[in-house]
Amino acid sequence: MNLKDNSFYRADLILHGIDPSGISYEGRIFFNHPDANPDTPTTLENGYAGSFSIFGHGGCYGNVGHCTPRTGMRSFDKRPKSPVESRDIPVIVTDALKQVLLNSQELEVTIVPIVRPENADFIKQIQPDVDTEHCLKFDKFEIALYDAPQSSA
Amino acid sequence: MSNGKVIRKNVEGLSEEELGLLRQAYTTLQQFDPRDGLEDRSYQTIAGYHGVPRGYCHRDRELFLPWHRAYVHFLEQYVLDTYPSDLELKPGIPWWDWTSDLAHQPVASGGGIPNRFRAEDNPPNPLAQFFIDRPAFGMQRNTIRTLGVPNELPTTAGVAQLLEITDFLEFSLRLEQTPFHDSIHVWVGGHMGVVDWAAYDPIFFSHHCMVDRIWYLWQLRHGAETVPSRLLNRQLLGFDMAVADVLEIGDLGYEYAVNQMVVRNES
Repeated sequence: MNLKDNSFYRADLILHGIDPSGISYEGRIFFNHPDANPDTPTTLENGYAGSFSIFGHGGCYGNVGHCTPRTGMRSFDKRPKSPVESRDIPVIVTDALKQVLLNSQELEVTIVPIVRPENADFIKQIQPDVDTEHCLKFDKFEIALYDAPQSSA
Repeated sequence: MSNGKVIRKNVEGLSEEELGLLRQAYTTLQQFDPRDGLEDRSYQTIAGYHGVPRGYCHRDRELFLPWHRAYVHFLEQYVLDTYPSDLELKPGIPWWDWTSDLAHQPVASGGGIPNRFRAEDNPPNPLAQFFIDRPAFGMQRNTIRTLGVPNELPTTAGVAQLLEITDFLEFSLRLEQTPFHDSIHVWVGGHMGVVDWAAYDPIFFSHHCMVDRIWYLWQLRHGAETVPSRLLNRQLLGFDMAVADVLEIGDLGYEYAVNQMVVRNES
């Protein structure tokens, strides 16, 4: 990704289509630090940009297909949505992005999912089929840049 | 005389008498046999509204705040039912202030979750855990918490920034996500860390009382009518209420306070 302008007021990294059906975790975002891992300090110097939490559904207790989001919803279908509909999550990354742009025009995004071992153990006890290692699933992300709010005259 | 409204306080601010009433209320509700969901007064039945088995927890992100306001209010009615009928000042569901200086102290100094939610042996503390009896879902055990580090909890500065947001939907989204609502569930961990089981842990309702209080503080600043009009008639699953019915906490019979007193006219 090439960025030529550092004059934005705010920058959001928006993750689209995050799957909340599994284990709960924290997702830490790093810029230009492809080797970031759970032990990487969460500082600007390490490219840490922000984090998000996923409060996970913890697997499905229904029959096959119970938690699968319905597609092709009819306009007159007033039933509630599935509790595991994918969601979009914005994370404010202004400081980290400006830091990157001081030295580079290239941006590499690394997201590190953090699952506490005690919670992984707990989920394995109650829902053995839940994947506790590959929990981060999303469709795409975008970076949105915003100008400063206009002050009134 | 009081105005008849329930007073919701910080759990740390409850008097010993108020705490005793609350603990007795939770004990009573937890001891009801759920009778497969027939017994509406059972804590297990009420907790089952959120995830397993009813799954009513908001299916639409835009209803996050009103649905949980209705839910806490719902449990609160059952708590109130257990109080002596002549009780003048009724303590409601207390909030857990996860931004307080105390919450950010080391656990040994009382930080993290309040001591009033911690386990005691004799008698057992009904605010500490609940025995879930749902064999059909492979769950017959006490709720557990794995607990994070206190200094990871949200701060008052973070809440102050939240309160500056002027758009209701953006405010709701930000309050729901990191570092607030969702992060607290992940921080407490265990059953609270799983949508399907979170409400079985008694601390769930005090966590959501804090979330609701923040919404109330936001409403004081920005108005209660700022919810998009297209949401007002949306029904809140499981409760005989729509969004419009939960915008004013006064209409739901409660207030947030740091303290209360009754002043009698002695003349």
